[in-house]
Amino acid sequence: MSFSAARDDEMSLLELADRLLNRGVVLTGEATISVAGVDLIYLGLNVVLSAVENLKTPHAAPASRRRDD
Amino acid sequence: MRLLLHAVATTEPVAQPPVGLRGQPLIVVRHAEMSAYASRFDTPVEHFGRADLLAHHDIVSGLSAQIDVLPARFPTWLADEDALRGELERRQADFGAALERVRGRVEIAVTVLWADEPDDQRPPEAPTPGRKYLLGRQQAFTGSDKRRARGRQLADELEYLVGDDLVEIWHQVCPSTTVALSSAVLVPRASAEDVKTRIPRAEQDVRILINGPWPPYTFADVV
Repeated sequence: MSFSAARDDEMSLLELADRLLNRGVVLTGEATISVAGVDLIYLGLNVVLSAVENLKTPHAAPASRRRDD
Repeated sequence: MRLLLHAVATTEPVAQPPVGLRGQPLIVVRHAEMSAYASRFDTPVEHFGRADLLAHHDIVSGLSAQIDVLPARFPTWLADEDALRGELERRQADFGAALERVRGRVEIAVTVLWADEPDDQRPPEAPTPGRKYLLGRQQAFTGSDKRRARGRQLADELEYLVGDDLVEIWHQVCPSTTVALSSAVLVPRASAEDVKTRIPRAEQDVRILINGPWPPYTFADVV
């Protein structure tokens, strides 16, 4: 696999992980996820769940648009 | 006993239910017009790894291929079936509205990567250290402005290409130095593959990664 293809796979995995860890229905929970020995998230006070990277590096405010049928 | 939630869904039957995480039983808890799918553990798991994350994705994707689902943020634990049923009851209206939002729809992830390093990574030429520093700062500001403008242009192009199939779209412009645009596009399930063919894999200054169709993670933001 070329370096570029490997980098693309890594980026796709990061995109997926961002969705699994930071988006979706939130109820309640408590756990620490470890990927490759690095703790990615810590969930404490029931509903606060965020990738550590996101806590360290605030992203630009996302924009969303919606179109109803 | 603990339950690891995977998704909240409609009550249509699932012909091929996936196996739970780490081979545990996948249980279904129903309330009113909703179902919740969870893996049942005798003891809670304290540490998850990459394989667990991907296994959760596989379970949600397996369900999403058969019924409309709201993926749960990973990991979400509940004490038992009564606790899960209680959440379904308490959040019934929110979940119902969210399920309606994603009904028959899937998410496509579009990630646009810069083909080259940013201009501000190349040190400017200058006769003195002070002047070189100031030129470097000026170059960084100008370069990042240009890149943000280009990112916004790419977002507009993406919306144009998705066209009438666009239901909702979510953008992050220049979320990191290597990424020009990260977008989540909600489209009808039947159009997903066609939409993917309309998006180019590269332009002069960027490479474009397209993933999915995925369950509608970005559009299930019921908190």
